[in-house]
Amino acid sequence: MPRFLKDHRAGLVLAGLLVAQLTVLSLQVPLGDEPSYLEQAVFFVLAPVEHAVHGAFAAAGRLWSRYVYLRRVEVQNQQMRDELFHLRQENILLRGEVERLTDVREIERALPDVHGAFVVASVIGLDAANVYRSLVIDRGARDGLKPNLAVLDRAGHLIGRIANPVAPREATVQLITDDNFSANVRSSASRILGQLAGEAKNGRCALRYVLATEDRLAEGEELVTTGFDRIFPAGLKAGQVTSIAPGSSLFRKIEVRPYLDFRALDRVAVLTAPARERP
Amino acid sequence: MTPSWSRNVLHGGLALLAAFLVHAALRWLAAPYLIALDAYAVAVIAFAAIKGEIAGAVMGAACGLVVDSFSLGVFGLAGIAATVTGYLAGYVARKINVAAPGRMFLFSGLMGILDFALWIGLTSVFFGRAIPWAGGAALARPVVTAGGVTVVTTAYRRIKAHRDA
Repeated sequence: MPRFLKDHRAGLVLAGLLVAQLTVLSLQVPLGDEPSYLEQAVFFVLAPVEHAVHGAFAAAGRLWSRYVYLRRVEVQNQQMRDELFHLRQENILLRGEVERLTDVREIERALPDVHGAFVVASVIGLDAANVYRSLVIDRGARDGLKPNLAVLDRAGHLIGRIANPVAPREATVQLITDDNFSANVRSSASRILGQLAGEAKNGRCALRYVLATEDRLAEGEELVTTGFDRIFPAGLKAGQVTSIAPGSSLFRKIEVRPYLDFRALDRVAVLTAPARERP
Repeated sequence: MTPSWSRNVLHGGLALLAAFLVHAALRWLAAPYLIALDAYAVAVIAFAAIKGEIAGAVMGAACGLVVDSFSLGVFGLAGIAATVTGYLAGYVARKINVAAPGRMFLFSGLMGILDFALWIGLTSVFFGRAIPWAGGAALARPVVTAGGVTVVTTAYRRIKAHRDA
């Protein structure tokens, strides 16, 4: 090895690595939000490992809750029985209402669409740099997942959308709190339209493009999707308005608390048909 | 490839896998505070302190690659910060004696601050992305990193001394 290379080996390695990473960064520019082949390759290789780690922890958790920690089981059982009773009654009333309002053949046509409209997935990983940006779920392209499908939590609240990369058995979810997230929403009571955008720095959202002259919107109002963006179906609950400030420009500064809660985010539902394909 | 090189690659791979597993496991314990518990920074600084600047830089690049692949952030951003941190950590550890746990804590704390400052600088200044402060929990990151590195390197040195004896 030439003496120069020997003397400056460490510096050359560092320079080589930095140049390689700057090249990767510059290659990313024309791709925009699309992941590069390298990023996809690393995700495809390591996502199954994360899946396995999740499986191991889930198994340990099941062992603990099913065979060791049974203190709350009886209480939960009673609560669920009560809830089931109420849901059955509600279901009967709703069926009656639907039959009264709509033609039977129309209902028969619509029911299979509702039944197969979502895939249930477990959360197996969080964003490695900022948890409010994305997470990884244990369902992927093999289960029919593709970018831009809406993702909901257990209660049916909007928490994000499927984003690239999507591996055969794992997929990335862009969270509602990511800086690049955007959904068209309206307030539930005053029906004011705006654009819901994420704020990853504090895990909150902002409601944008509401004019400063608009004074009907109140704190505590719920925001639901409109379906106008052709990505999210109409009527999904996304969050609550927590503060409204005048703002320094043409628009009001509105802070929104999303329903996204990491403590309750073990299972999610992915609506498997994008809004534009849904009947 | 010499035996010492292949051993370093193997150790590096194992350290990266350990960091990945710890990070995946931490989400079960403290998801919103993951910003303060950076297993990858611990792996990079500890590996650099033990193996030197070249191994530290390579480890930083590899860890950055993994972090960026599991993040919707700018691909390559975490890698640059971790590569520079790994290199400097290895270089400084070779120049001064950081074997004692107290010194190692101080040294890795400073390296943790450097890593965090580089990441913040690249993220917010050059790419205009928001920093997730998690209610100030992010500021604890260098201290948590220092604690992690001290535990890992002390354990490594004790195991090695025991094996060599």
